[in-house]
Amino acid sequence: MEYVLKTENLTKEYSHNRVVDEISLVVKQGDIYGFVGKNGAGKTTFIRLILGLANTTSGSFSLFDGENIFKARRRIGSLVESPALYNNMSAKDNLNMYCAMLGIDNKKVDEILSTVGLKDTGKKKVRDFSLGMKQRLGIGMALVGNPDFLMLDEPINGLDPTGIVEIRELLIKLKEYGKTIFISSHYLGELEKIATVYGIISKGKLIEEITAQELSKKCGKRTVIKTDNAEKAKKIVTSLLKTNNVAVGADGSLYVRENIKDIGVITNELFKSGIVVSEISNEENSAEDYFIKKMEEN
Amino acid sequence: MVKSLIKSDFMKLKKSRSLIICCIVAVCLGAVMALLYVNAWNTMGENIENARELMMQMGIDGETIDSAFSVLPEPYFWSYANIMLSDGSIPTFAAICAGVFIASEYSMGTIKNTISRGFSRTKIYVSKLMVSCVTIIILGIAYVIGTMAVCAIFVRGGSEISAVQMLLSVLSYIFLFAAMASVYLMIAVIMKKTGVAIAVSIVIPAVISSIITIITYSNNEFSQVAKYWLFNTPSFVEKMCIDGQAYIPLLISVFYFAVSTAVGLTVFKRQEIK
Repeated sequence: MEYVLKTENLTKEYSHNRVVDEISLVVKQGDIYGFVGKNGAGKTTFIRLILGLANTTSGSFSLFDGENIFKARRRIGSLVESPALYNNMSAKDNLNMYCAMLGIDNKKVDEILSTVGLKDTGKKKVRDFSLGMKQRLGIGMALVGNPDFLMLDEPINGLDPTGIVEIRELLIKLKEYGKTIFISSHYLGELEKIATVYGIISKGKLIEEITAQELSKKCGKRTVIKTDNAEKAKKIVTSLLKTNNVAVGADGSLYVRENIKDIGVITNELFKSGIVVSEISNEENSAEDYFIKKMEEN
Repeated sequence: MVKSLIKSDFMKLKKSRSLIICCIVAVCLGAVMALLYVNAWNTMGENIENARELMMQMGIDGETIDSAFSVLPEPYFWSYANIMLSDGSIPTFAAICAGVFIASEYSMGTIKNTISRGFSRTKIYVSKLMVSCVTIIILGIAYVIGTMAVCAIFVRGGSEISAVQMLLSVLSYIFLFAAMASVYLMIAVIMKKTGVAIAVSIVIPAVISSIITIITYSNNEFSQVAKYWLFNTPSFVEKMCIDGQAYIPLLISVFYFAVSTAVGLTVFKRQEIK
């Protein structure tokens, strides 16, 4: 399969206000696609368009290499905003009812309840559940029917730290089973632990798509050295550290893509070579910082 | 796929507390109303002829006298069942159930579970329509059961109308109730909020019925309008069946059913689900 989701200039307008603005992206099979953006950036609207809950203004999208849209949606499990549950029913009844709706066997209901940590809720009605329990059940509902593609909008909202870890492990396990996951979250740190591709959205526009590998390259630890002769300094630092991760930046600073432990030794060697070091510092740039910076730029 | 949708909708209906409560209230109310009519008949029944004569002496015309006494059913099983089916209580219960059952899908957000799993909106609507129709018929049966329980004790069996006319009347009621269910579904889909849907479903038909009644009484040219308003038609069913006009309630039902389904479905297909 070439792709699970492909959008082309997907746009949604409300009263001439573009909430989703010509988004073109591709989610490949096996990806965990992290959809990052501020509140109101258009993440949920984008998901609602794909799931058929809202109508597109222009642009198009296709699922599973262009499969019939209704059939394709049968292969998607989703959680959009708050979990949609029948409050007068137990967790098990909610799942049983959902199985009946999809016309599938309810044999795996207990397994799903166990997976999302709700197997001991018995006949307790959903109305008496905590926010975290409802969120877990919402994820459980998304898992009914063993879907190939999961679209989860803020799935760890309201979960306690243990719940967050459990859901993270569950998502990693699902990826190992070959599932594709599209996940939007404000918890950038959490997203960073599982996503393989990121899409950064701001004011309805997709401003960057970046793989986890590219992101780590952009965000890793680094040492910045400001000198009066960057090229000469580069040769010395490369030779001392025995690394190729040294580059001269556009601003004339020397960038080493790792933290140098013995800053004093480097400074001393550069000084001996007649190079004046005006500044030397170790920096650490997290993915979270990167996303925030990107979103603020736009 | 529609089969599984209908199955799950009936599962929800089975678990619906509002249906159970409405059924219990319908049985009780049916019994109480029947008791009131039985009591009224016992009090007045023997003196009806005297009352008629008295009213005629007072110069009241025959039609008005007949109309005044038509409120009291004849002392037969069928007469009681007929007046109960046409008194407007069943649509009220149905309006409540449809409001809770359909509009709550929006307020709880569960409708998005169905749509996002690839069910076409037409199929979803058809499924809800079927459940709504069954609900109103269940409520009708519950109401009549309450009435019949009282009648079994106080009223003699039989009927003044023929079995065929009775069957036609029952069929007419079923069709009319199905059309009402369709109207309530349309309102619930448009309103999307449980309370608003129930209020609109009860108030709007009642207001329109009142306006029609006022127009009918104030102008003879419009005397026939009332029977074409879906929520008034049940009052005319028995007479229409006796007069060989059973097709009229059938046509009225089909018209309202078709129009409300078309409007409801069009709205639902364009609707953005939150």
